[in-house]
Amino acid sequence: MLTATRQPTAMFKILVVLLVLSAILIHSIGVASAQSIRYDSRGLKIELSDDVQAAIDSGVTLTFESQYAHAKHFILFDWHTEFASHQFEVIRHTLSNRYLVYENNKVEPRIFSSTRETMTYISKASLSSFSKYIAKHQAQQIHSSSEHKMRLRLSKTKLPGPMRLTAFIASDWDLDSGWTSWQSDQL
Amino acid sequence: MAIRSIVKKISSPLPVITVCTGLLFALSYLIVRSLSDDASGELQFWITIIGSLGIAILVFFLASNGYTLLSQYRRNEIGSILTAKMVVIFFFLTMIPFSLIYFFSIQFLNKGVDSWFDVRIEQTVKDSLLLSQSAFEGIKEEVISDVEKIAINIREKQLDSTVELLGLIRELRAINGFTELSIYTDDGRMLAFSSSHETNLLPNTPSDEAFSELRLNQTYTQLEPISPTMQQFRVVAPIGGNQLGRQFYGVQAIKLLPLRYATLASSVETASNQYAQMVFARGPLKFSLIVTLSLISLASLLFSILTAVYLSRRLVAPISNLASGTQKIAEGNYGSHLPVTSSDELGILTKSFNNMSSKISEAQQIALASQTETEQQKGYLEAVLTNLSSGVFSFDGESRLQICNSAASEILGLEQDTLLSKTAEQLCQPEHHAKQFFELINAGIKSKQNNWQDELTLLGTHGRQMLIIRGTVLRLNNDLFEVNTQVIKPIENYVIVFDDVTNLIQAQRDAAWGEVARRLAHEIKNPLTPIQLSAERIKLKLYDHVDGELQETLERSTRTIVQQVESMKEMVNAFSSYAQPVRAKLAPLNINQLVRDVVELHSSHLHQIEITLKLDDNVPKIKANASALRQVLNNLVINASHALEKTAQPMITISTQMAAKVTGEYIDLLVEDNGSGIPEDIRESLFDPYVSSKAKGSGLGLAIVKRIVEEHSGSVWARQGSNGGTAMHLRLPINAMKTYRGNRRQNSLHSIDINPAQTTD
Repeated sequence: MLTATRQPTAMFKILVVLLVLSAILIHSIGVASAQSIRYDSRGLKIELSDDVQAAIDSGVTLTFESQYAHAKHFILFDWHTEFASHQFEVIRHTLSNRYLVYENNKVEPRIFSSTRETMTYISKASLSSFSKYIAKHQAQQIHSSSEHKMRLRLSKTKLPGPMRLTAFIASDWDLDSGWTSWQSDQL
Repeated sequence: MAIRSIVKKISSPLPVITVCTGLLFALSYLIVRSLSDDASGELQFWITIIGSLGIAILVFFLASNGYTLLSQYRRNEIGSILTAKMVVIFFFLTMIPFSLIYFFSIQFLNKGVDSWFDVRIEQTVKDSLLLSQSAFEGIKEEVISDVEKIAINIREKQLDSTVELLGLIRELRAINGFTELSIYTDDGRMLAFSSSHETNLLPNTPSDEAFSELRLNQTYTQLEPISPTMQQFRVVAPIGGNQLGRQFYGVQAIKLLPLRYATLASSVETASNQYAQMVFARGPLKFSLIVTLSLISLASLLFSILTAVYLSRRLVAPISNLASGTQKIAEGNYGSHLPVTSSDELGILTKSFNNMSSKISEAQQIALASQTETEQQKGYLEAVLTNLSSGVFSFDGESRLQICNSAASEILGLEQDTLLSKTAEQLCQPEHHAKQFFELINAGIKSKQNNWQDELTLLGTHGRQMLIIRGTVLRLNNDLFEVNTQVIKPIENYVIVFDDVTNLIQAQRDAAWGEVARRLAHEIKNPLTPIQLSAERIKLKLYDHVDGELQETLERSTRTIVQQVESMKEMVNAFSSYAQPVRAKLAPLNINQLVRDVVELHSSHLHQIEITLKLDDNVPKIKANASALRQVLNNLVINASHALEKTAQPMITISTQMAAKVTGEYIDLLVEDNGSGIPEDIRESLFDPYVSSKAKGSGLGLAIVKRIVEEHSGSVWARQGSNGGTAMHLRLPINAMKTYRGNRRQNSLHSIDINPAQTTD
């Protein structure tokens, strides 16, 4: 009789724990850094996996998002308030065998002969924008109490529909720098 | 408990159905949108998460319900087994078609997606792309040729000023139809620039890659898309001339593709890209569709199983209620009503059960009332039987004794427990004093007579008993009737009523003797004195007138008359004494002292007899007539002494004690001798008048003893003494009731006048 009353309660507790873990997991999907986009002394380095490289060579449009936010630490988490973002759509032009980058939906693309050049441009452009925002905010004393952070990632939700589920599950598609606070001298 | 109630509430059908419905819609939306590139990826992501959570919740609901069902099954709760069976049946009914559909869906899905990709289409797309590239190659060669000619032209012309240079490139640009023409130095600086768009103030600078080619003295060519529908060729050719004091490094020409070419090329590019993308996404698409299909199937399966659980519970609930209600009725809890929740057959069954339960309850109440009434009647009957002075037996149809009242037990001197539940035959078997009595009853039962009566004399524990026995057949069912084709015979019981009429007959006999004595005293005593006086007068008158033999005869005759008259007087006085009722003047009497006085009185002439007194000093005073009891003791001592005349060592023992096995309200007085004992022929009529073993006894001594004792509400009986003689046993109440006339049930008498503690010496 006692086990009969204990077990459902235990099950319920297990469910609650699972729900909390799921919530944390969901949250972590948005904030976790897979470190496929790393920072070194020369700036951000984007390493494309074979799958991503194959995808872009197969004509799949990749959308990189650079997000800029100021962060406040609250209890266990850093809460980010995004104030700007940039999008870089990368697509391969088959006839010319070039990689085109459409920046913030501009009509005229930037053209690169390799993905390495393309990724280098995206990282530099992202960091450049971040540097400009910091300088602007420091000059105007905006969000002076909070920390400025930037995040560059491949947007899985902007992939073609059939590929999204695979991208959500496969770690090869985790191209994300995570929220990082860059020092001014690094910029 | 709160958590359990929350779990119970959220596990109820409504939340589950809501979750399932939402889940199925979400997953269906997901599978539709999985095929489209236009859908919001964020929405798709959250729908996937919500779908997974929904399935997790369904699994929880299922686990909770399954565990509850398992617990109920282990506790053998009513309805759990049936519910479990129905759930298993529903599960298999769902699982078999579901598995088939799922298997074939996966197969169709794989084959369907594969069928989208055809080798011929793929080759066509590639060919189109190659064709476009070939067309572009032709255009490119033309453009390169034109630009290289321009480079030669510039190198060969000796230009004197920048203005001339500008004019030249403007002319060349216009002649060749270039969008833009510009000249750069070796360090990458622009020297001259001409554009078809006059608003363009700055040239479209070549890339580093172009300059690298220039440094190698090679021509750089690149097809560049400038919008979704416009493309241009960028050609940078080396010049290698030194004019105007500077090194002419290279010339860049940009030429827009003709619109028709550009449009066609863009279309081919787009088609090629989309096909390549589809080929690349074939695997992920299959995976995505299979996962979504599996989620929908899993949600549907869980929903079906949960529905099976709820349906089973709903279907089984009325049956469980019925089983529970039946169990309650089996446990004696009548009148329980079940909720009628439906109007179908189960509802009708529940209504019927409720009606049945109500009727059983009413019948049970009636039976209870009847039982109470029967018990009251039985109690009344037992009270009547208990208070009856007559003995009552009741035998059932098998001649088995069912009822034996206390009066019957007392009359027969047998315990009730030894008689009850035995047949009349069995009661006859043991050798006891009432055997003759039971044989008579057995014969009466076997005679089948409706009414019979008989008389019987028994030698019981209190001596001879005269019993009048009446038997009656008690027929409970007077008519024959049939039950299930079996003829039910009327039940025959037997009621035996018997009375101990010994005291009654004895009283009648005593009354008759009293009347005789009174008449004797009245009719005989009166003439005796005149007879005696007449005899003495005759002697006085005639004695002197006769002599000799006549005188002697006269003397002898008159003496004889006087002696006989005296003797008759004594006899008449004795009868008178017997007939005269004791004028009982009851007063506290020390019975031990009375015994000592009587023994002292007789000690002078009974010195040859050893008289032993065993008197209990704890015997209290009793209410009695001292002179009457003195006479009783005198008679008993005299009778004992007479019985000891021929005994070598005569002994008389007189003892007093509290009556054994009674309530202490009686005392026993025992006069015992070691004489010849009571002759067999007079043992039964020992206390009747004129019964004596002595030649000269009047036979009234013991009759008077008995009468006096009974006047004191006591009893007397004789038995064989421990020394072979006679033991006369008197039992006297401590507080005698004057009006009492002989009754064998002395133990039921009560005395409240004397406190034994106060009357004890």
